[in-house]
Amino acid sequence: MIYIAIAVVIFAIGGIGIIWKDNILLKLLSLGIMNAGVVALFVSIAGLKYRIPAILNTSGPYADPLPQAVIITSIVIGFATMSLALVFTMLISLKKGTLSSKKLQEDIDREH
Amino acid sequence: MSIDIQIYPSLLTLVPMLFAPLFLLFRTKLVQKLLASLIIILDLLIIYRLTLIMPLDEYTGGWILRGIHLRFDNLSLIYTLLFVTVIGTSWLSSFKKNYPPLFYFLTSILLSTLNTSAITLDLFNIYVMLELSSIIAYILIAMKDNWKHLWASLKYLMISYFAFTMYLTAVGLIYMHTGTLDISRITGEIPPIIVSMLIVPLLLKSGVFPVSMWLPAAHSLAPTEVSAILSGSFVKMGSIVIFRLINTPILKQAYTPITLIALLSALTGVILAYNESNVKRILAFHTISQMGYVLAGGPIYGALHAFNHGIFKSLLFFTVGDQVEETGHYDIKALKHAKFPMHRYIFLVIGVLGISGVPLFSGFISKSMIIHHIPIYGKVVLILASVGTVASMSKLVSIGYRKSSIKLIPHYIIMATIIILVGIRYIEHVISLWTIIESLIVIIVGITIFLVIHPKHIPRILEKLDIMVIEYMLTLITVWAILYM
Repeated sequence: MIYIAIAVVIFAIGGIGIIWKDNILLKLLSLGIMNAGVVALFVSIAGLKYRIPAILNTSGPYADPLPQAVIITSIVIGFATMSLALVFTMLISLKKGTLSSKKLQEDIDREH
Repeated sequence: MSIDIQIYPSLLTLVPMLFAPLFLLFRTKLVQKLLASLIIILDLLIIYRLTLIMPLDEYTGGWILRGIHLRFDNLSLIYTLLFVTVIGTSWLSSFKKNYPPLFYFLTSILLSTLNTSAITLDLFNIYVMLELSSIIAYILIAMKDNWKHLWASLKYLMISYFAFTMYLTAVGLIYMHTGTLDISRITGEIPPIIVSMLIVPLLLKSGVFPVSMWLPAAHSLAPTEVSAILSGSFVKMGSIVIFRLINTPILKQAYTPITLIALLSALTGVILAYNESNVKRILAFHTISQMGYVLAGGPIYGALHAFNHGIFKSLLFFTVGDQVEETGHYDIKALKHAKFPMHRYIFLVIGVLGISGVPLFSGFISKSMIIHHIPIYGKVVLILASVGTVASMSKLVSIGYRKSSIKLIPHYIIMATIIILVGIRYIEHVISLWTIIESLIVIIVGITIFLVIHPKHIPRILEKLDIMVIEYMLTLITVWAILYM
């Protein structure tokens, strides 16, 4: 149970960071932290009953392998999304010369 | 000789997905056209064959009860038909412009993910499709390579990544409680907090008011065909998943908060649209409003309205988008100087008649059904929203037309034909003195409002990224509170 609590705290730290920080890069970093919280949550769900990993030469009852299989996919998707976000951030900083989300929003409201 | 091929629902996923890389390999225009038509024809054939034997269940890989559960039924039929039509017509429109092969590659995969979302019953599979289609949408929005597009896309990326992470957490918790990810086999009580964590991301994907303020910037900045694909098919993905969940323990008694949010969205969408001067943003706000109708309508009438909305909203985005690209003006005052050419204006008006719910056009059918089947408080809100729809659509019609040579544009004609055919074919189900009087009153009041009340500029506070996250959290807490009571 303590692991689930830790995971929720990590998730919350990420969420607060997204609201609090103005710089886009820091917002993305907070998103990454939040995703780490979810990964931690899934791994602790898998180990709720039994802790032994589901590998052939260990003897059972194993930890549930499905949450881990699920989270691998999520990590890959998170990696893809994060790379795309970083490319966008790089292009914005090249074209606009700023990473402040407040300033970008003000400019887009004026021009569009 | 008859060819007897076993047809599976998973073919709807596989066909566009397997053909997609060919767009990048063969880059000549002719091959691209052939490939695009091949995908559309094959998809329509598969849908036709599946309708003969539906409802049909499939477990991938033959792992009965353990593989991913796919099902093709009435709901899937309506949605897959919509996705194929919208993406097919967008391709038809895009061949006249200079789109890179990447566009066809991405939209083909998008078609595959949309089809999958219409047939899958697996919560984790839905998560993958939500993420994959969103990633494609980010790239499509940012394709113009301008900082405005990049920022609109990045805002959407961050808010939906935030939301889908929460969706995934909810899926994990549901698995912990029930031991299954298959929607049809979930049993027992699910705690309200998990339900709200699962539902609110889907609402964000559906483009409903408090959670979807990413939508106006993204849909209005994207190129014409991309706007049509996003508003016509992409935002429908959330609604089909919500409809799938309705008869399961997850949403059994919990449809009230969704109806309330949907009604709020239907009304707020048109108010924001009325006070907007950018034509493409007007249409984007209408998507927010119409998605409110869809979710308020429930799985039968809502799905029908989703189909109708997809068709007339794509037609509106085609006509208005082409005009914006031709003149370079987004503002309604600047467009009044340029005016629509005749052949475009006619189809704009058909789209407007569709969305306003005028008899003999498709919007009338589904709107009357939804208004007829909703509780009384919902009726009042939806009729008010219809008045607002007419009022803000009058702004578009008031741009006016100039005489021009007649041109036959195939994708306009296909969409307009569907609007009128659906409108005439199903009119017997809703036609009565009351519905006709109601729609006439709505139109007259709407036009009066347009003539009397002048729009004001509303500041775009709700579209800031940090405010969007707060809106999201507030919606989450509200849904939780309503479910808890």
